[in-house]
Amino acid sequence: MPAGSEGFAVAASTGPTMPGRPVVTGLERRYRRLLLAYPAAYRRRHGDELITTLLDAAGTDRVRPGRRDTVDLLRGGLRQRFRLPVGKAPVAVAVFAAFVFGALGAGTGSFLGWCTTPPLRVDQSAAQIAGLAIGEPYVGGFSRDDRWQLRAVKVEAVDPRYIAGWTSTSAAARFTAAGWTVEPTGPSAFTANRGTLRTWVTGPLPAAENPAGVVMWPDPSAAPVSVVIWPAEPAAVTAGVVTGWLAGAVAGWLLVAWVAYQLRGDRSWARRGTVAILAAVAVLVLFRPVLWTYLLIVTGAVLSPDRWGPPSPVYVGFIDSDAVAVPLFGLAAVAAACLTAARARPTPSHDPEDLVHS
Amino acid sequence: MLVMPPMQEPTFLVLTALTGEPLHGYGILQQVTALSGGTVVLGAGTLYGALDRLTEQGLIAVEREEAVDGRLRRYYRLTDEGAGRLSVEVERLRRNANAAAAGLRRRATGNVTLPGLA
Repeated sequence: MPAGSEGFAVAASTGPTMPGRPVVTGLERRYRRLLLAYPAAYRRRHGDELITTLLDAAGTDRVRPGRRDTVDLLRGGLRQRFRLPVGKAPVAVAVFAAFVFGALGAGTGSFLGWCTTPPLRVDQSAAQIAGLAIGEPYVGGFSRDDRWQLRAVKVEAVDPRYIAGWTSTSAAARFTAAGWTVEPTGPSAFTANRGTLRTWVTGPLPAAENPAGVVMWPDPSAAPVSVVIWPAEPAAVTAGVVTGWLAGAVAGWLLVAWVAYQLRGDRSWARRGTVAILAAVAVLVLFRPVLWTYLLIVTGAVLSPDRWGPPSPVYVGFIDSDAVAVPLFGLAAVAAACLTAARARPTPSHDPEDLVHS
Repeated sequence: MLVMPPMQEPTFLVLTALTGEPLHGYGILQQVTALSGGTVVLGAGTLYGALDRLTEQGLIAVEREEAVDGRLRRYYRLTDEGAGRLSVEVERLRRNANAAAAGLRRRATGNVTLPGLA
């Protein structure tokens, strides 16, 4: 039953002929190339018999795979890469892995998105913005938020002086006059946007707006004016987070499918146990940064960006830790689990010469 | 009681093809085509995806392996579990077919009220 209808001609024997081994034709080589769509472990298990079946079905005159066979093999290979072992547990593990690696991908996409904008430098323009907020030349220093240290640099200026007569209303008016778009966010706070810069200004409550005499600073005379400056989020960040999440989720699923196939039929409980323990360690270690990443995604999507100061970039989820090495340790556990699984060889490669000849 | 989901037609035909003697991949392809009257023509990629899954579920098993002209042929057989699963599916299909046939008979005689809905 030859499959398909195109590509018939006299098959050429192009491969070396070995005693007891079949002649490798151009058609077989082309079929084997198509089998690269399948995972390597699957090819080891079924590759030879698949080739036999394909050649049987092709008949004697075909020299190249038909379109139907090509589509069928490519689709079958793709499906096999995503296929999980039978049962609900592998699906649950794969979904969880997609969740974890999705967070990792979203963080990576967020970082790459932020890389499309130049990092904010602490220069004369930052001092000018701080001076605009204070109403006098700013003489203090700037501090950076460590969490933003990679790309989205945030600088903060806190004038230690008591600025007599300072009000957020007058400060907002200065920003408006300088071409900024101002939006009040509290009785003594506002945000100002201009171009790709965002600024958040907070200061002491004036007495008229603080009738209860609430003391918000131990020494009212030292109540500071705080100015936070950060770059606007580039449009590429949202695209990076979405794309990164999808890529990470698919990678997580594929990884579980690959590990499961490696371990299928492997009778070494030591190996299976080692993989399970390493996976559990990875889950425990990555739990916090993954959860933190999703919280950042949700709060960034739900809350009005920039209204309450600079939003934390999503990539902060994996670096905002007492020990940045902790997520790396989790990823190392994942890599170790994969290496352990890769050593499993449930079915040896078949050599037709070892089989019963008929 | 665990309710089994309906079997897909290619799966049903592959299991049916193996109710006789053990078959290798190409033999199964031929049998499936013959059983379906030519309406189902499986590709090798689809077939081996199904064989891999059915083997994992314990419904079929590798009977033996042979080398013919230096090429590997792996023969598959239906397991007892596979036969049982196929029997359940046959009974389900028979029940549905009987219900459909009865409905058509009633329709032909003008009595279109379904049992239990009168």
